Amino acid sequence: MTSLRIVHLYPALLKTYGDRGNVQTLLDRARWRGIDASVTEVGLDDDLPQCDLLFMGGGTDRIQAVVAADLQRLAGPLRDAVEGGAVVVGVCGGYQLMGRAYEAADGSMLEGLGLIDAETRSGPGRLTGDVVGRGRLMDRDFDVVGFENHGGRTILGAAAEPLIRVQRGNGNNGEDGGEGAVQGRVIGTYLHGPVLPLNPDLADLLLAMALGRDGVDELGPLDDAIERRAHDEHRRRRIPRTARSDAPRGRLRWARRVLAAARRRAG
Amino acid sequence: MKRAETIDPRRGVAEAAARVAGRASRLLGRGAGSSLPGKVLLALAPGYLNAAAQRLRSGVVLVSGTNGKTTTASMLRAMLAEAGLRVMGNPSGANLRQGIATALLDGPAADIAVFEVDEAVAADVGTRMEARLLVLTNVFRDQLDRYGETETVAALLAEAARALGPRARVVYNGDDPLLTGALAAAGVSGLPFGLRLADPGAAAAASVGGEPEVCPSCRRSLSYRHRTLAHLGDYGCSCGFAPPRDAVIGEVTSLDGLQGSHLRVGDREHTVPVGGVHNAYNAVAALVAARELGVEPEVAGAALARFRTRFGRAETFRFRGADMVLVLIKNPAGADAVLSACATERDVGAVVVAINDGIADGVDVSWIWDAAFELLVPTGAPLIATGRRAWEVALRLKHAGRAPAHTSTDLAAALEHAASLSESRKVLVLANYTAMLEVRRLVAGSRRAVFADAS
Repeated sequence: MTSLRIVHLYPALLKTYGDRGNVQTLLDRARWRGIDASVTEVGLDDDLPQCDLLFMGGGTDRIQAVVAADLQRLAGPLRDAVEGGAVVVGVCGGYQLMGRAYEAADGSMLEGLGLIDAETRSGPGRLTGDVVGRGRLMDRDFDVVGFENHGGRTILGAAAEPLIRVQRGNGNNGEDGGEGAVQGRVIGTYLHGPVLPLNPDLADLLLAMALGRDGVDELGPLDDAIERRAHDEHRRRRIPRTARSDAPRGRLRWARRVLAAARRRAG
Repeated sequence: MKRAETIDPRRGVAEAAARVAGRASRLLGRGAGSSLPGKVLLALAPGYLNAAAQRLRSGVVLVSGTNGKTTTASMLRAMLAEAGLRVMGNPSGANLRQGIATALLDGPAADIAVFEVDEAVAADVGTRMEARLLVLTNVFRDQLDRYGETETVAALLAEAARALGPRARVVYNGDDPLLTGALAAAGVSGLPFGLRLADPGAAAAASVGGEPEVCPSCRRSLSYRHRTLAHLGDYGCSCGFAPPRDAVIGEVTSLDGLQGSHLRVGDREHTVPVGGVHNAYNAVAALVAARELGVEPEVAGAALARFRTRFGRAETFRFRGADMVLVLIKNPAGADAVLSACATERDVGAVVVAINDGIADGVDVSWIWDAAFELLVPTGAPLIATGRRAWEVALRLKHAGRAPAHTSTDLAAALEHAASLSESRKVLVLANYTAMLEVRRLVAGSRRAVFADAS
């Protein structure tokens, strides 16, 4: 196949964390290889066109409720698309809605698509910070970096596998070391960054699956110097404490910091 | 009624201690000393904000919202000063409790204070200081790792407005459906303002940088008769939700890149000497607030026409022989407004994009993928990626259609490179918050007073 039809689900509603960058990456990495790739945006009340890869990003709880109500209309066509060979990628809210059910922070339950054997419950506080991990798709290991920021805790059922094993960060629920999910051709992850520009290996694996290639090597190489460097820098970085800068701090801590600054000056 | 001033020895001690802390902090090079003295002050005298507010004869005005706080507050201060009032504030943008306390400690004797205040502490600071006027600019997604969801921020601002009670007035952006909806839900009525563009141009379609266009009341899709910026404009919903009818509307008659715009409010023409639709919004907000505070429109207009930007809001400076324009970008909607203005600039020698990931910036910089950096490509100028997240900027620019000519996490090296490429044309430096502060420090360090309006 020399063409790739991408569908971006609800881009005007689910666009909280640079999700557009994921679609842009899939589109560009296909085009850079001479593949005739296109993106169709599907919104409220739109029909699902024929496609090879579907992407859905995340939104706030209020917006996800709007999407969840409309999404049931597309549940059948989406299932047909997957059975027909399409790859489905969900990030954060998109991932949550691909599971069976999602509980919002206010306790309300949203029905999911059931494409992934998973359930998401609301948990105390948000899981926020950098994530580093490693996964395997199409018999190929890949390293992943990203940023997570989610209140929901996702538990996978027997039919789904985690997308990656977390080396740093929380992942699906902060407990079992798994991040994201793979169930056949349906892939979900909590990772932002956005995840695909920063992780070209994962992006290419998804492209290879969507294009029906036997392995990622069939895609041919690209000049990924900037991609590799961005990935490596992200992996290396140590983010500052995520506490708000006006969080109450002890006067003792302040004194210690002044002393430390004085020592740095002296030495 | 203002309380009679009483001499509080405890406050005197607290102020002295805070001043010492500030001096120590500056000596140790820990920064500009804009937050530490306030921290000490509030620890020793928790009632300081209230006590200091009582000393201001004409009270306290607060400005909050995602974008435009610093510029709107600064414009309003200029208008009040033009009207003959002694005005103080926090022009450097230190807008948490301690920053405002420091400003009160260091500031001159004044009749009135105009403070910008962080969305999360607006209600607390407002009630402590018994603010008489609250200006709410807009709600966009910004630093989601710090602030959380936009609906939460809108609710925080509405709560701040409600908590001030009926004696305070609220000036707000009626073109913002999220903000308007949140205020209505909190039962707050106020003085709305709005904007219309004579030439809608690039704002004709929904933008990636805007918030989802969903009715805050019934969750159906909003329709727009007129768009100005991101999700702002003349919206409507089949349930009847619409912008307030009594809004003061500014009409943007012309836009001239980063240089400025012309604005008609009522029968009066105004010159806004800072470019972009976002600054036209700031100007209307300041004009409405000034009128509410009793400033004559021609006085406010005169102050606006002479307004000078500061702190990275299209500040100009010279560096290594090149003229540079420093512009703050920190979230998709604000960045889109800046990028649209950049796209119409002529004689651009290079564009530097500097993105850091400090706590004040938000440690998650994925928003750069929602900002329309594609608009830089037609300028034809070489692009330079820098800041702590230089390589992610480089990747964003590559996908925008032009990989950077130079990428370096070293800001000084990047600026020097830009100067060398500029061929005596101007260099645009787009930076997020701490990167902007770093650029200012670098420039100030290399040659003092190159900024027209350094603080």
